[in-house]
Amino acid sequence: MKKLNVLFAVFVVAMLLVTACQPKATPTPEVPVAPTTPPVEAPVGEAPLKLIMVQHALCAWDAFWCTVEDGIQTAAKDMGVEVTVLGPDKFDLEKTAALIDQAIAAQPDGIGLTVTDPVLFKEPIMKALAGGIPVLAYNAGKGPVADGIPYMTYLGMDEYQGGYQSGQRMIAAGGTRGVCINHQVGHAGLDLRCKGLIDAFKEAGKTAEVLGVKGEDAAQSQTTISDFYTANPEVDSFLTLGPSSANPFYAFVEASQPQNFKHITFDLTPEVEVAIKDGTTIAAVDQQPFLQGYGAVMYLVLNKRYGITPALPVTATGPGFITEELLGATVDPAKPLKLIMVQHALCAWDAFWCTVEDGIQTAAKNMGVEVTVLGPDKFDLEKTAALIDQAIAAQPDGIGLTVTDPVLFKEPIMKALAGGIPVLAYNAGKGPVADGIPYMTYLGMDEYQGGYQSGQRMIAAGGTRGVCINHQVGHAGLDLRCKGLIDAFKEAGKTAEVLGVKGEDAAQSQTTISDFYTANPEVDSFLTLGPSSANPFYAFVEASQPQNFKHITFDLTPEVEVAIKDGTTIAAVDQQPFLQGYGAVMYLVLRQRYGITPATAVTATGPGFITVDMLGK
Amino acid sequence: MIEVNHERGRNSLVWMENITKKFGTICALRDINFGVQKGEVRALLGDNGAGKSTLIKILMGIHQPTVGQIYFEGRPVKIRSPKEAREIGIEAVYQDLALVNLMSISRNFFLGREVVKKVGPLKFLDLKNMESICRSSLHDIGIEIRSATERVGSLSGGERQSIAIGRGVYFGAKVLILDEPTSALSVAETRKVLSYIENARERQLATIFITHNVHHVYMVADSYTIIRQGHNVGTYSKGELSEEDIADLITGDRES
Amino acid sequence: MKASVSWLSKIRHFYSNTTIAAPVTVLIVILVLFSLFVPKFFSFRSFSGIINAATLNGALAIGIAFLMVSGEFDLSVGSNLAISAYIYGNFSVAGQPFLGLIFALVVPALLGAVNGVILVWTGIPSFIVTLGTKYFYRGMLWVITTGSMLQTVDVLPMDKIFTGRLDLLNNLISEANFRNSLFWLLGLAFIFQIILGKTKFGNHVFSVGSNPGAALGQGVNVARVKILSFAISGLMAGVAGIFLFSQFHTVRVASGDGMDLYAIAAAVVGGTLITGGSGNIWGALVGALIISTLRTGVVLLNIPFIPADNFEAIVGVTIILAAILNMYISKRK
Repeated sequence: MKKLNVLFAVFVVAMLLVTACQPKATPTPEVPVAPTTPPVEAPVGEAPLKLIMVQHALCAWDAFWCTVEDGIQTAAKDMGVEVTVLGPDKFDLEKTAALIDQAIAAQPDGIGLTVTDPVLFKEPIMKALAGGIPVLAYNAGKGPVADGIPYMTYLGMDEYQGGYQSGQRMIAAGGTRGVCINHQVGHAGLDLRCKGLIDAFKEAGKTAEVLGVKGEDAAQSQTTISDFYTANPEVDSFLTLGPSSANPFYAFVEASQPQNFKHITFDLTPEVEVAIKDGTTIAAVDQQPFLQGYGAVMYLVLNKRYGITPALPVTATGPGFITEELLGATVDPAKPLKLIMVQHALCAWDAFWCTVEDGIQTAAKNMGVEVTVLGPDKFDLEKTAALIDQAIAAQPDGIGLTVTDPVLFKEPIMKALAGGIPVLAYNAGKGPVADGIPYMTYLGMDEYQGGYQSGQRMIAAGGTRGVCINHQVGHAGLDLRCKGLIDAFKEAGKTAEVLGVKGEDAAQSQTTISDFYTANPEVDSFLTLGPSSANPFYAFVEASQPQNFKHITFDLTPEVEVAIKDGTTIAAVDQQPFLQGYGAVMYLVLRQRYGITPATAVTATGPGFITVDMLGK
Repeated sequence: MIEVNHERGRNSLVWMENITKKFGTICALRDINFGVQKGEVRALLGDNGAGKSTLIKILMGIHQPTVGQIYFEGRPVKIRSPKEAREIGIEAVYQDLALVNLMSISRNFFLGREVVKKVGPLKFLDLKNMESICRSSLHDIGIEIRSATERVGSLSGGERQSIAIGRGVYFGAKVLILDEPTSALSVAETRKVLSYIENARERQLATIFITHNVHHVYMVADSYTIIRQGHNVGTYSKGELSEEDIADLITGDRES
Repeated sequence: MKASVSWLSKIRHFYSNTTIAAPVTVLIVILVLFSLFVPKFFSFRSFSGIINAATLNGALAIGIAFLMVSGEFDLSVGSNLAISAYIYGNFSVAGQPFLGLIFALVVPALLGAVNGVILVWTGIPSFIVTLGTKYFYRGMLWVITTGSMLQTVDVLPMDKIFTGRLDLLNNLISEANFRNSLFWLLGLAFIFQIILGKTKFGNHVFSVGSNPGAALGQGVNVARVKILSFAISGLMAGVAGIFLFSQFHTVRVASGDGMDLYAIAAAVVGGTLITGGSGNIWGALVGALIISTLRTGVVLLNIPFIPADNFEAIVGVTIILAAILNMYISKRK
């Protein structure tokens, strides 16, 4: 017994020493790392931000736009900013372009616009960007890459996902064979919807096909559908892509009385609303125009205030699915809400989480809801699972959580969902599909895009040959980052490859990088995937003094910060933990107040890129 | 047969009196009396499992007797470890456990009693000195070696026994315990080892020769103690019994 | 015919009596072959890189080789490396590098000794004991640091003493990148080889590793020798941790994970017997150099189907070949 005491004492002393002076150190979290978002500017006591939105149509003469403008004004109120919406008094692209110029002249803090005509709008948008005004697109556009204009992002429908998720819902309802009734074959957006449907059926081991109808002739379309059904009576799942195909489909249903079919359509019309209520139609696919307006304002404000950038060129606001349940729900912008967030770690003992919690509290304050953050006092998954149970018992209006262990957390999450509490995941998780738990969405890093966009930035900086320094080959997330880099180089007609290093032995890794560079001196673009590979990379740079190289790394550490400032490193890839916290609250609130649902299983909060400009702020 | 006489036993060099050893409920030794005198070669005979090695391990300090007392040079002693046994002059030569095969002859010779020289406050092995002492002292008792730096592992079984015996003699052992020293040796080598034992007897050392085969010890022993199943069968002087008689006593084919 | 046989046996005799000879020969052969056939290999850039790559592994291997001579293993040195780096790092950041140095050596040495104490008390094989403490030590480190990485951008003068660039040499030779850690490694190998080969304690370490029964019979305190050997393996893990933090200023909870087996590999390749009782500290250092030389050769060869991360295959083959060589040499009669 006495001997054991000695042993124990030795250990306690040892461990105390490990922690000695810990608070004075610069601790940064191991997984995932990214503690510092650029300095936060509090909106308090300053003149409110002024934003201008330019649209090709207005609520005043097109009812669709009332929802968008409602989203814009709600966000403006939530975030305490001034937003002016400009638009022509009838459809007129020239005039819309002129309104952009007018908006720039007003020197706003941000511009949102509908990129109806990228050729015509390019010049004014470039002028705004040159003047340092952040610009993003919503509702109309194809994203900065496809439009060839480097605005922040485009908020709109993900057409492919619209078809794909419709297919999944049909299969879940028992559908075995599908058809996509396309009223305008050859239209890129509509074709993407059909492709999504077909892929969803294919993945489930079933088949689906496209039926082209003439949208201009409703009578003929009805007959075509009827003939097709007679020839293929085993078809039981119908996707219509808008009123032009939904309308003849309903006529067909009335006339031919097919049994046991599943129907989903795009765009909510009064006719569709009735069909949803009487059970003919499962759901209407919605691009969620409210979220387009709300998101456009939100991203402009978050960019200005917290340096947050949208992770992807296209930020999906749809598909949202309007089901019978949602139709019954009433929109209540003032609904008081109580949310609970359950995390496996807390700001109290892990600095990384302070940024996440800051995002949560900022969103809570902006949107006027009450949010409680729960977490264990040290890393303890069992306890975290118990906290989820505790959260459910409190009957909140929504739960956000980190799905650190899907097996352990599945049961409590299912309990919450069964109790009608909306649940979403942030920071840790793989998304509802991969985790096998039907929560709303997972807000986190898009690893592939992290590597892909890094590659694009390196190439833009003049990189010609890349290497992805991977300290843990075989780790799914890290491998995806490398794949993204390689694809970006491949698309630009260049090559990139993977160099595996032993992350646990920094000395060995440094020499491996040096040897690789000696063997491949033409390599000029280096991507490191975290501190374990960045740290030996810097040692290599110091020792071997390579010239004219481009370096991007994941996760901002003190060392990376210095390197960005002195020009060694172009940027640090960030998962934007602030946005994870903010977005989690926002989606839960929008769900409860406006029936908005996240468009995709994984909602990318990163990559964000921390460059020298952002560190300077 | 030599009758047990505690008075006389206590005055000999080593005397183990009324030794009983229990391992849990198993009684390995019961009321054993055993000893050896200066200049005597005493054979300790018994079949496998008779209790020979338990008795010797008690003398070596590896085991403690459950009941009984050990006397050394007339004084009652308690031997708690092999180190203490060696300190009072009891040296054991086990066939496999005597020497470290991967070490040189001289390092083995001085293992645990290394010669050091001081360099400032530090002490280093005096390897040169160790080698020459080793070589010359082995030579003194008639053992010739090729090189003191040779690894013991490359020596024959007889050479290893002789080095272990020579080491005991050099370090002033009063009692040499030899555990089956000749059982794996050729005839010529056995003869050599027996001659080292006689050399030791001449130097007035007491020798305990443990074996299960009387043939190995009949020529050299002055007396024989036979144990069977943990009991004393008896102690006999040289010439009292024939080789065959002793062999029968060991196996229990004949009662004393 | 007869002359050639005795010539061969003379060589074998030399190699069997000189444990360091075989690994040094292997290293020289590899260096010559690579210099001839691997493009860009023959340069001071490569040579200094090979030595730098072996810094942490070499430090661990010195301690592991010492311990293996006593007949035991230590799989917890990787964890001790991380513990030491956190201790040294935290004290450095707090402006107390000297105190940090002391604790970063003492604590791993004590944790190493704990391995030995458990082994001696329970009689459980060291493979199992240190497999357990390997996870326990690192697990506790995880809990205490909450998994946080420790990084500083301030370089202390003390750090340069350990792992600073050896500019005196580097300025003379272009492309060279030698570091002070080279001298520390040579010095430590020298000291521990002296302890092993030229002291009473070293003599006992050999005896305990080869034949603990005989050692006990000759009055060697086997338990004490084993515990001290474990403490030395822990101490060298502490040295490796100081090397890590003083050069890279970064330590993570996963730092050093898996390096225990690499250190054992270095010791075996360097001629230390896996069964104990025979070995050489210089050999362990040479073993670490052999492994890192092979790695540099492989990376420089740029073979697409042997990427650097598949280097393990080559280490595996090297270990087996080294073991066969050791066996062949020590079988000499």
